[in-house]
Amino acid sequence: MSDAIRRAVLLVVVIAVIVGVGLADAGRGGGGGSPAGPGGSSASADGVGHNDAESSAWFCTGGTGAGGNAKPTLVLTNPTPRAVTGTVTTTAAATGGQASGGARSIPVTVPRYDQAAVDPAPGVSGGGLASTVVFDGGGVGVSQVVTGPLGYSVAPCASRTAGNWYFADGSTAGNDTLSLSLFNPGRTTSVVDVSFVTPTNGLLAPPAYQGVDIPGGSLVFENVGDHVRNASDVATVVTTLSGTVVAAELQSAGQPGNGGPSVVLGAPQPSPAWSFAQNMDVTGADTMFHLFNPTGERARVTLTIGLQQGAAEPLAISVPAMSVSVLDAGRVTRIPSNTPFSATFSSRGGPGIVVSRSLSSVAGSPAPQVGEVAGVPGGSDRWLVPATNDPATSVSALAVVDMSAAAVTVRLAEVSATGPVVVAGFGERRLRPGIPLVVRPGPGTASGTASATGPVIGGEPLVVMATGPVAVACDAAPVGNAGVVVFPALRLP
Amino acid sequence: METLAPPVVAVIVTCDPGPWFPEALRAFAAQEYPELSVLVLDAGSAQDPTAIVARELPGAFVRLLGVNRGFGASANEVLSMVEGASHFLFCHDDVAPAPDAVHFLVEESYRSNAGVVAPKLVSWDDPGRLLHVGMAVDKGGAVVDRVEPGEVDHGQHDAVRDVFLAPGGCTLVRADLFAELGGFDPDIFVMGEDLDLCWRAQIAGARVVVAPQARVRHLEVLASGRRQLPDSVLVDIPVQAVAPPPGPVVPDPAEPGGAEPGGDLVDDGSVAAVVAGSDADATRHRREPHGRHRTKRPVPAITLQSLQRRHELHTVLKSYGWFHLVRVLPQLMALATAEYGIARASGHRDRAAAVAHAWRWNLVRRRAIRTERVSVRAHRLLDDGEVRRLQLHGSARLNAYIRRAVNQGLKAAHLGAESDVGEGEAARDRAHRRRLRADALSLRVMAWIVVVLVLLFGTRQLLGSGFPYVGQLLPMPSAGSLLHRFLSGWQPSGVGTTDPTSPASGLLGVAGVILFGGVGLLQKIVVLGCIPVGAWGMARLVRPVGSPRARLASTLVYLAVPLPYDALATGRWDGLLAYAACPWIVGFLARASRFAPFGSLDDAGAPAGVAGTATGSGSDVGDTPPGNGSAPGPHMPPAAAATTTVTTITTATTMTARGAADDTGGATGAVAARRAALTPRWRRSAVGQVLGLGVLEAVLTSAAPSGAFLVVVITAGLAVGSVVTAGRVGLRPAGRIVAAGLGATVVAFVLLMPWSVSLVAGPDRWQALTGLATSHGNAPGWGAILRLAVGPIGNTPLSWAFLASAALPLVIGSRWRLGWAGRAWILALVAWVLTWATGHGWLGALTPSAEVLLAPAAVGVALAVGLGAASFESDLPGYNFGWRQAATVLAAVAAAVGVLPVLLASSGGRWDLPLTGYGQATAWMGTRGAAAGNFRVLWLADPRVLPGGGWPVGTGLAYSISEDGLGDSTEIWSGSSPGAAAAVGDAVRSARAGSTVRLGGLLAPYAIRYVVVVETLAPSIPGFQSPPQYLPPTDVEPALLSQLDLRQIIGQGGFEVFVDDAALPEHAVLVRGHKTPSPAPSGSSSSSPPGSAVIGSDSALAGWTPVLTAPRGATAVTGPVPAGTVLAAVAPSSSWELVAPGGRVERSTTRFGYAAGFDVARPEVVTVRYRGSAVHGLEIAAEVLLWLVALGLLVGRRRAWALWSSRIRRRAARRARRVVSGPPAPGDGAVDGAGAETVGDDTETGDGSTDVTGAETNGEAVPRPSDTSPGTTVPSGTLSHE
Repeated sequence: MSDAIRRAVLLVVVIAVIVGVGLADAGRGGGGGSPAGPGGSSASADGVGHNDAESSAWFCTGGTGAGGNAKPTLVLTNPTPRAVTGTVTTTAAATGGQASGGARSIPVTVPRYDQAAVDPAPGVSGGGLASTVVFDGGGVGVSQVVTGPLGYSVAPCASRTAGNWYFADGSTAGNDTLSLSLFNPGRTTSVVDVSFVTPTNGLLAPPAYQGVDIPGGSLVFENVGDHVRNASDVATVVTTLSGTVVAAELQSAGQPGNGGPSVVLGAPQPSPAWSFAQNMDVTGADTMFHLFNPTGERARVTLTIGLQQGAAEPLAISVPAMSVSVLDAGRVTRIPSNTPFSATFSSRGGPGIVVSRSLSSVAGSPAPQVGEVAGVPGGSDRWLVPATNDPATSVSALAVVDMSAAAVTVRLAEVSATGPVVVAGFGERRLRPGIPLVVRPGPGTASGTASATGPVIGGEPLVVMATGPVAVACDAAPVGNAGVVVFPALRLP
Repeated sequence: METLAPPVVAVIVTCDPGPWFPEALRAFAAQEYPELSVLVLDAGSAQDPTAIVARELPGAFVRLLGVNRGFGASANEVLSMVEGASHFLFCHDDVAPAPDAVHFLVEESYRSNAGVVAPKLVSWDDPGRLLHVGMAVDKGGAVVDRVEPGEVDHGQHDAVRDVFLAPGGCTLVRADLFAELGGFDPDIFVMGEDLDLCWRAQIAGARVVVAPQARVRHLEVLASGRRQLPDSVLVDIPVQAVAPPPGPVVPDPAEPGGAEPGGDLVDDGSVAAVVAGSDADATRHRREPHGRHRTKRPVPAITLQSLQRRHELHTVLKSYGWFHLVRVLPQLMALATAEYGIARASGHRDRAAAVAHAWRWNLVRRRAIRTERVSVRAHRLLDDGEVRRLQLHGSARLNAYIRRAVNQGLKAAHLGAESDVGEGEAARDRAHRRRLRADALSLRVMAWIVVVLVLLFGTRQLLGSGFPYVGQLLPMPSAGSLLHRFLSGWQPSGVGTTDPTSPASGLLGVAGVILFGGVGLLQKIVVLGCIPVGAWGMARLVRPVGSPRARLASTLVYLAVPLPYDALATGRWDGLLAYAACPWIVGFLARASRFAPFGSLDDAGAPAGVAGTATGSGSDVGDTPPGNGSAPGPHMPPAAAATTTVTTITTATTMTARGAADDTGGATGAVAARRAALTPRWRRSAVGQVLGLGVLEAVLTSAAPSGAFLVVVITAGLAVGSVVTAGRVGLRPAGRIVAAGLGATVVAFVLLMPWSVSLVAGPDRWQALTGLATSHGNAPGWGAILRLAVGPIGNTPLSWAFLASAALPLVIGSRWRLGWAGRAWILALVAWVLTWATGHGWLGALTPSAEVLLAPAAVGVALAVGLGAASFESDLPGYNFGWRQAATVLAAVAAAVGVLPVLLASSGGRWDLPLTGYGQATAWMGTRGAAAGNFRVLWLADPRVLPGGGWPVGTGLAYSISEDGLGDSTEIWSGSSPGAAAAVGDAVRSARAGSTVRLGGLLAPYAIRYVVVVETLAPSIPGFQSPPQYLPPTDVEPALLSQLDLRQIIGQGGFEVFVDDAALPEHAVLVRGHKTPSPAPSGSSSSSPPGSAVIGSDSALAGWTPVLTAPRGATAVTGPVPAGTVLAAVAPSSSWELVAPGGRVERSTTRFGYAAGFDVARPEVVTVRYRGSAVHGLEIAAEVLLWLVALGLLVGRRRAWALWSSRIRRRAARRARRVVSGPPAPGDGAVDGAGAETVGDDTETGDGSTDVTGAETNGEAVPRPSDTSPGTTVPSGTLSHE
């Protein structure tokens, strides 16, 4: 090989490798931050632990003691083939934000394929309550039903603590009361900053809410209205300086018969996508979506509306940094009245957002209630729908919406005493992106493009299985009324 | 007619006199002094001078001494031969006294009552120029001439005066004085016998005067180089005559320009020979008809300067009384030390060697000196104070040095003493050449001095204090602990394991013992020493290229790449070790390839560097590096072409000795050849090379396990490079490279057994070799990889400059320079791509650190830069002026610019290593935890910042476990498998997966009290240090915060600490009768403080109290325990036993799946100890034996080889003597035919009967048996002057 040839070969090889790998490296972009591990980090805090987990825990807060607006009942749903034991430890908060200093522990056993309801604090009155449910294993989901003079509300409990919590909406206007529960279930004292964002005042950081010490195992239950007065749209940001907490809000609105309590678990982090599978803009009610952008960057959000007849034209919404945008569904002409629809908010490529929905149904309307519900961030292919635990409440509909870009297949199983049983006649339903599947109770009642033979929804826990990420919501309402209290299902591993 | 003149005998000592001799004799014949007799003493001339003497000076006497014992010893013969003379006139055979010279000398002797009278010595060829008019001497014996070199005689020195020294050549000595003094010192062969005699004469009270009216012409044939000393004189310490291995190359080396400039030290471990400069150089390899060659002469070693210096010192040591000696000797030692250092630093190796030789030679003769001191004391009349008054004050050499330095500069001062000995055209010529070489040497020396200063400056803060404990820079345990861990068979790694440990523990332990337990110093040596060792390896790697510039450039670039400093800054000891080892590994594999200049093949597959091709056509010749067995190539500079020497010796695996590149280049071809000749042949064989590389790989791997992968990378890079650069021809070299790499790996594997076996015993153990997967987010980018800047240093565009410089040989290089530049680049490319790929997780579990993987790339870049320099010298002159010349300039500028980042980084004094590490930040653990017994700490971090080694939890997260706080450096070799501690990793995985909220409960049985999550290289302290971040996966902190039984106590400063309050002590006792709390029944409720809720509690963990606190890593602990169950939370449970006063207590149970439980019946003092294994002892013994064998083969066998070969030669010599001539006849002067072969024997035996001596001999001295008979006299008989 002559020198000239060798030289040429070498130069070509060297340049090709350097340039080639350089292009590949540039294509992969910067390293970014360290990836999450197996557990990952999710915008949702409502995941059920693996069946074979050594232990799992749920944290329920937002409720109050007897005599309050939201006496909690913990609903423990075990879709696994083994009984799971655990302990429910409840802490009560004293007023004024001071930890109560006491805790009660109740051993519990959740039978296989069954559901148990636990009163976490029998005989405890007033103030806020927080419960920690520790199971000697995984697979059990816990949700919380609160009842009071204003009505009831259902919300999932948190399966993990977090350093940040976000709430897109709340109201201290009029007779509305908004309470913030900050529960530290661990052993490390957490230090928390709380700030609020309102459309009129922007970011508020009340000094009393800065550097709040929350010792391990204690609960701080604060009335937001003491510091943010008469604000109808209050977004809340909870940031821990050290440690982690669980945060929930209890919204009490209106009067008995024309109002309702809402327990809302915060979102541990902003998410690029939020879905509300079940909505109905009924006559006489106001359906409002609150889009909270807690980041420092403007978010450009696309609202995808899924209707029975197909997808409506998406709607673009701009949410400035650290602000709340309110979308009145009744003013969106592309949403027909009295028609179920799904709403999916996407901020893909931009900063994450937090979205919640509030529904205010005045007296005389089919469902005179006021409710607040958080959306479902992201999707999951397995969901656990606990049975409602209030005999006066029924599930009016189960809604499933595809959150992926491709069609998915959905199956529905009922957790019976012998195990999950595929709902007879439901079979597999093909679900197109953005088009909601609404399954109503009772045989032969279905809506949406995918008709379904409804099981006795609400009687037994359900497991929703899909071949792709879907969001599942359940509309619970007093028997015979249109549902307005929608609660998300629990994610299954 | 009777005369009143005192009888004078002129004693002319001669040996192989030259053409000047008749003229000298005629001068004596013309003397006007009437009572002058002439005695010619011939000291073993090859040709009998009797005929010449008879012709020119018929009245003279001639005595053939038959052997040359030096001027002094020969002249002393006059004492036994002459009676009745009043004076002796001792003359060389190259002096021609003026007709009245003897007359004036004798007259002055009487007039001045002088014992010694010196004439005015003038130049032989130009009598108008002065040589000497007496000489002065300082207290150290240094002689100072009274005339300037070449000074014209205007009568300015014509006054008679006392002098201290009458210079040799022609000296009149009173006969009685001479007899009283015992004549000349026979130990002084040449150079200095005059000083010795005059000094003793002064002590004896005799005057020494100079009589300028007596004029004597002196040719100074010895000093002017017209006569050479015999090799037996020039050899400092006898050298075994080792014949080079047989091979096709039998060059005749050592033309003046081809010798090592200024001499060199040849150190083969047993032989220290100071090699003279060009005039006294060279092993004479003669080509013989059958291609065999033999050593004609021993390696000459001594210069005239050396002789002069040693004899000066010799005279001082024997002449001073004790008082003055004690006073003067320290001064001389200090001056000698300083002179040695300056001479070495300025490249004047010959002078440095002379100084060292003088002291060594006299030290060896200390007994003889004591005897001579007695003799001197016997005739002392003047004390030293009187004698000192005649000497110069101060140090003549120091004064001259300062004077020259002030007047002419340092360079002139360094060169000044070149004229200490000799002059004449040849000497001046040689001095000029030496000056040129010294200039080049000085440049290199200055460069090295700057480099050393920069390194010292950049490391200054680390030299005076310990390392901060970051990364792999952990505190090193005591030497005893290191050895104990190596020998005990149990390691505290994890929660304890009986897996074999790395031999590095034993090696460091031994080193620590050698340093008297100074493990702190040891750590600095093994960490900071990696940088100079790497540079040394680079210099060695590039040496065969044959260009000092290339060597300098490569080494400087290798020192200036940011890689080692980044490794140091981030506490990556494995990176530093890889940096140190890589050039050596590349060198081994390069030699295995046999590509020129590392071997005999050119890139076309033809032999290069062998004599057959070297003298052939230019094309092949040009592809051969200087000194690689070829004549200079067509592109070589004329100077280089004129002086290239050929010294290659080819064997199965070819070693190449570099010859001279050019006159100023400081070639070392002859020295390299001698080194090669002294290197055992087997070490240059394939097996020897593989063994050497294998030992290197074993050492590297034992300290940095991923080093094993390094050999694979380099092997792959060079093999691929061989194919790419040489096409099909490269397949065979590539195969050799691969074979060598594999062979070395096998050797290393064997040497590292049983540790190596444990590493490959299961897939979960390979990570010790392959490294821990770092976070992809922390992976360096392609740009950083190319710039070899993967840490805080070198993150500047200037770091690209080296790449530009390294590209030069690709565009201007040719032949083997282009070939090796290509291989260097391919090697670098392979390393770069692998680094990039592993950073992105493309190679799966194969994840050595970037610092380790990039070390071959650094070698490749540095080698390419050096080859660029070689191409500049050899290839560029062959091109017409154009862009290549411009590219060369740019490359040179780029190389200079590339140094800047590291240069700037040196300003900090610690190469960006953090000021404080995790040692201080976690020191509180030990104090807090002591009351609760021994505990463990679980460390979770990205592998780059994990203290010590560890095991993976997932990508970007690893864990390690240490005892009682921060671990020590043995954590680096934390074992191939976590063993029982694997459950700890599983628990962490569960926590990350959300599968537990009771991690504390899971860790508690393993005595893990603290969980530390490390996020930065060192604690982050605002305003003090901001170390680089290597964040663990984002889910780790939330997962730990979600644990209901862990309590976070520190959550900032770059690390987080969680406490597990339920953790058991390492040694605990569950007192008998303790009631384990049972969980509350279902449905009941209880009230408890929130912080101590029963969440996560485990009844099995309750009730244990600490006992038996032990030092970290102890294999036995003794103390009192109450009755109950004693827990030893160390694995494996079966290897531990409890010994009570009543005997050994059997292990009752295995607790928590790994810990040992012992039932103790009553309170007593017990010992929990590790039960050793006999098998382990055998394993250790075998391992030590293997290492000794390997090291013995590499080191010890060299001496064995030399002894063996010398025996063979002695035997052959004896055979040759018997065959050739038998015993020589007395007086026949026959040359022993085996003389050349028997030099080593003769000098080695020291037997006087076979001493080879010669004074002022010309040409080759050959040994001959001493002739003890009187020899031949003409006329015979004893001279008698009545």
